[in-house]
Amino acid sequence: MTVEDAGARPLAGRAGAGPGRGRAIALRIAARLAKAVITLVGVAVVVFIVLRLLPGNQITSSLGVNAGLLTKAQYADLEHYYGIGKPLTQQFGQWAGDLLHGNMGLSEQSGRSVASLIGAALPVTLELAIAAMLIGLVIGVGAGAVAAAAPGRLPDRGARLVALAGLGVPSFVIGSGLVALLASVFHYFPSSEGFASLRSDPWLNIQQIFWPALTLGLGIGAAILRTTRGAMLDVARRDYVRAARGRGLAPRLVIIKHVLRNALIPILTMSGIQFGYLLGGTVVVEEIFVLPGLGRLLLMSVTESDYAVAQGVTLVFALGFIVVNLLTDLLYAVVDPRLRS
Amino acid sequence: MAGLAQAGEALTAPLVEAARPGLARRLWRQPSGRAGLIILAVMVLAGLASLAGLAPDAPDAQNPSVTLHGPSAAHLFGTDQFGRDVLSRVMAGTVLSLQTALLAVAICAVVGTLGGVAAGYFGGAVSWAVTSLADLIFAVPSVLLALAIVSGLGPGWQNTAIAVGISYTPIFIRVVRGPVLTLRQADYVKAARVLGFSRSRILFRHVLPGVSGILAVQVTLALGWAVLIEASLDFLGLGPPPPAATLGLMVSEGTNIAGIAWWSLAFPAVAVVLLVLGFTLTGDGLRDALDPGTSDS
Repeated sequence: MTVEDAGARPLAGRAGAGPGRGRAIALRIAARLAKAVITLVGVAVVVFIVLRLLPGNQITSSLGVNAGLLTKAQYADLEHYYGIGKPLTQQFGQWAGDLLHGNMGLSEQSGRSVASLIGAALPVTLELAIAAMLIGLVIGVGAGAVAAAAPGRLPDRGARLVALAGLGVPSFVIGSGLVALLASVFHYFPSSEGFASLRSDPWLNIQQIFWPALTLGLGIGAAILRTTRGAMLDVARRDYVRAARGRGLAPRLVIIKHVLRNALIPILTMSGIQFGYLLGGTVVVEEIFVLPGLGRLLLMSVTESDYAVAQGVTLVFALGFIVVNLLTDLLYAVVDPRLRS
Repeated sequence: MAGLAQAGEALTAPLVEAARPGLARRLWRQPSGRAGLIILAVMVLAGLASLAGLAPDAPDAQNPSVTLHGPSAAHLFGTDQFGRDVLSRVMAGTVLSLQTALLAVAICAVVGTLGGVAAGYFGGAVSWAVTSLADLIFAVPSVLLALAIVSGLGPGWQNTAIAVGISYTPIFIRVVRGPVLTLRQADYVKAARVLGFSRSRILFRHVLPGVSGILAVQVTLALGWAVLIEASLDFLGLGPPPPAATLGLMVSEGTNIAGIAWWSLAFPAVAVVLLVLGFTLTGDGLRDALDPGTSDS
């Protein structure tokens, strides 16, 4: 490798390896982990308080207006039964302690444990989220790179128009349109009974997950496309890219090895942000396509004031969001060696 | 999430230069800004016409003799399953969307800006408290947060606005805090301190104008986002209950009968899209007009 070559590839070398670096990195990761745990605890506290501030409780939600007919003693008995008569701090301690043992409480509506409900719904949402993210990344990075390769040309204009549409059309509109289209063209109607898991019937499962994943993926793809295009155009102006071109490297190789690689940081940031959007989007899309995932579980538990379930699902969502942010931050260091020192 | 915040600061740093005269003209010259402004003008006019009673029919007026009629001269956008005029309902829904979005953004812009300015200017414990709180709110996906808040406060457009406003507040805190950190060290702010100006005078007369450009962009983008989330909540049945003419509810009802009455789904859906696009395009144009350096056209 010549000197010029080294200069042309700023992200390829492992610069500044020293004896104390390993420990410094470990410390930074530990600090980042601690911050993630603190945020999660904070979210748990906030979720607990918000749900307790809501009007109504387990007694009114299970008995409805008849709760008003209870005698004081009966009410106190029920409060004891549901564990809601005690001071808030004690209730929180109880809940947090149980949580650490994997016990998230019981669903008031179905009588099943919250952990089992979440356990059944989580794989569906996880599969949906991963499929949507993949679709979004393929559309976003692929079309973004094509657009950035020839700015102002026809493919670029087309890609930007699609991106604008993807950003402006809400997922519930795309989803509703797709459901209407599937019903009229293929006579296919999503239903909750017919859901096949990936293990029981992989082919049917993929067919069922594809449309909702596409619905979410289009929105994500649009945002990633815009970021990819902007970042690549920015990198393409740099001297080392001009140098690589000057050395006669094939244009395709210049784009993949030099431009795209150095544009990864903003793409990564945007993908992390979009994942948060994705988690919220699953509520809407699972409702439209009747997928038995976490989003639908949350919506049902909230409308039925099934607090234990709502609490558990919100925590799982927050955990997912925090983990993805953590991974994004750690990935920065993988993508950009300069951030490791 | 430190990476996120840094990226946000890097993005907004060049915008610190506040609005200069001629901004409207520069916005109009941007293709996206012009398209956005035209779309918004059309939607706002439709809304105003509805408020002035110029809609063809009352949004809730049922007419059993004309259920599910397609678009015609009498009913430009057709009628729904109760014989209600879809155009009148879309116009009324536009008003509801706009007023919800305006209230929501008023909440998050005021709270978020005050929080961001305080965090950036005072630093220390204030900054820690504000940014930690913002991180917490941010860790709960916005739709979920809005869902929890709406289900707690009950249905109604004001409650939807409060929910949407709270969930967007962290973005304003982040976007404002970064530039204020820089402005705090600016010579004219230091000079104001030396001159012994009161703290509120420095904050409102010297620091706040410095972030007005970023705020203008953020407010516009937030309006588009608020329309989107608000319509999503209505769609999920968490907004004002039927027969309220919300665009989200109309899309939800229209989906079920789209096979026999496409217009009951298409027109409300297009109205939502136009509102979101109008604000997004105007926001993009505004950003480019304020800082030609980041223009991507």
